[in-house]
Amino acid sequence: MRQVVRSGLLVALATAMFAGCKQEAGSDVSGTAPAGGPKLAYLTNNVSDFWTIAQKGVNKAERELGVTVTFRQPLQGSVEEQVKFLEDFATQGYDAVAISPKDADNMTDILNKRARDYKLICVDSDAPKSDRIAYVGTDNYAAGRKLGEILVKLFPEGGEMVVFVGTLDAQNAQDRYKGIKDVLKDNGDRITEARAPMLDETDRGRAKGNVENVLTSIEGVDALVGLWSYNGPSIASAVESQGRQGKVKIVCFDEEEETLAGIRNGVIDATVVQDPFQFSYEAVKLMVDLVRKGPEAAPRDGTLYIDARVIDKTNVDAFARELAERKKKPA
Amino acid sequence: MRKEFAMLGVLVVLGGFISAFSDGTFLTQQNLNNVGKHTALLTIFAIGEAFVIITGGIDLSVGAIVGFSSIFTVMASTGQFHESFELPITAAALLAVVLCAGIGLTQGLLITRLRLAPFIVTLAGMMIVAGLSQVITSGTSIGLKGAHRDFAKLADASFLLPVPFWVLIAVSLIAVYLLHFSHIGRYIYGIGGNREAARYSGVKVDLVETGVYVWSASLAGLAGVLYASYLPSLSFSTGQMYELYAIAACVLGGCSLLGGEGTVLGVLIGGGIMQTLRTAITLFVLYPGTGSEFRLSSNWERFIVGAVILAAVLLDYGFRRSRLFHRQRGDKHAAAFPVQTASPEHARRME
Repeated sequence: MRQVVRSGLLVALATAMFAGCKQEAGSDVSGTAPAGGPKLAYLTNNVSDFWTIAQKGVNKAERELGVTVTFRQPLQGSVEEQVKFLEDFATQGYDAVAISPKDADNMTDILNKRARDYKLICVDSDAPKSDRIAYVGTDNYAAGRKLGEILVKLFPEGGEMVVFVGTLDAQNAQDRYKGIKDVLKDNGDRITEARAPMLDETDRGRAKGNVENVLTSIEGVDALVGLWSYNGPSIASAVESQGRQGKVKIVCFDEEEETLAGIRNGVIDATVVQDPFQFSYEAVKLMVDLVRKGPEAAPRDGTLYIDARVIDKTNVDAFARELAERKKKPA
Repeated sequence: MRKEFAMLGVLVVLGGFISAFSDGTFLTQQNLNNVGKHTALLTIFAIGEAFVIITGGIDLSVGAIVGFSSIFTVMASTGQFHESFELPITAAALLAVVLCAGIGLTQGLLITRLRLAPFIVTLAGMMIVAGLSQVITSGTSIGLKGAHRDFAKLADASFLLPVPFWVLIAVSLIAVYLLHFSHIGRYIYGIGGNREAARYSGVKVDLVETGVYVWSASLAGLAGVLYASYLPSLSFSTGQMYELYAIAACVLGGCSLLGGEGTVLGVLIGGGIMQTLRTAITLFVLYPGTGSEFRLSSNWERFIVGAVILAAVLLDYGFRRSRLFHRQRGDKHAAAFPVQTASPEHARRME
């Protein structure tokens, strides 16, 4: 009896471990392609709210165009996971793949190799040096410039800021940062960085701790800038906990619920949001066109930009309603 | 205990160094509050990890359990599992800790009943619990959505000391009693020193060891509740890698990964060193207020923390070598002067 119980527990443990490993590999397969239809895949760079909204855009395109898209989200958001998925798509004979490359510069070779296996486009984060056919998404550099312009308006006489981000190796972080810096430079560098960007490696505890340390160590800091989606809420929470709301300006990117709440209650001044729903919808449309009509379906200069928007106290409620509506739409 | 005092010395030197190079900000009340809060958040579950390490085991699941507990507390108290399932925040927090204790119990039973390696069981536990967090959050960010405002302010609140630090004090007092003033503590050291000898001495090894994993997971659950209050938004990756920080705090505090060694005071000092170091990297500044002001990039954090852990291990190695050397010299001396070694006074000195 003891042997049976022991074997049972071992099998249960092995099953549980397998389940864990399976989770590790990624998730969200939308289904198989309809007979005769193009085989399409969409590969994100991590798992987040942002990609949940993107998936709704993919779903809308699926319904309208009568196609099915395999939607994959790497759990760890690592280059290794993305490379493995790209290989799998080649093995399984996919016709077109949209990817948000984690590390565009260092993935050029692998992207070039896969661009020979299927029609490859980039979404959200571009790999301009690769043989991808097109890029669909936000111009992160332009989005960074928009945020820079907000800073210039907030501090016409100049001031000191600190930037917070997970890591600076992602293309979108680099582009946003460069966009901000270029606007500040165009305006005479009156707003300067009090210290180098604070990195948290996507650890939210560390993200908030970084802000607390900056507020303690740099008394005269005027603006705190969050480059990734969770940085806005982390900054707002730390500022509130130290009673500095109103004394320091907060500007950030993306639309986490706590960011929108922060704008409503006046702790956060503005956020620059992308439109993942729209660019994902457009990406699927482009993949279908590329498969059915060939390379001439690609945009002329290889890029299809979807505008970033500035959300502040004047339009936050309308934007929140729009967002809720999009999240509600049936898959 | 000598090791703990050596590490306390390291902490004092580190504090002195950063006080000198932080433009006066290190010793401000605000900063000391921050350091105390961060030290408490880490050390609460590091104490649980220390109990496991002293028995000669390892618990790699504590980080994932911290994350799960924080996510469960938020979701259960805001009806995010299901509209009809919304608990008061206190009940949600208590249930989270109980569930975490259950995870610890399962792991403990697998380790003691099936004789599975703690490394493998808790590694699988880490993956399963992190996977579970991902499933229940659907991979998205979650937060209190403006509910339970008092709870949301709790971890940042301060009554002379930050609230998490008061929790750490309470946990430490219980841990000190259990480990240093009760027979359970003697059993824990006994198991870590020589498991078979402990078993033959009548210690219920399996029971004590299982209890240690329950204790570790419960403290991780408690820390998770505090993280639920501290962080404005959570994701399934909350707590990732925290097990390594806990193990590092234990090692810095004098716990031997071979088991049988370590104290609660040591872990408190280890946790203090870890968080003081991380704060120091942000606060460090040279030539403040001048055109050539220099601040250390946060890219250095892992390198510096890793280097300090290695230095602590080398220091520990030096202590062991020195002790062994003195013991061997004592033995030779005893062989050369048998009459002297026979004296009770020398025997005491040798001891």
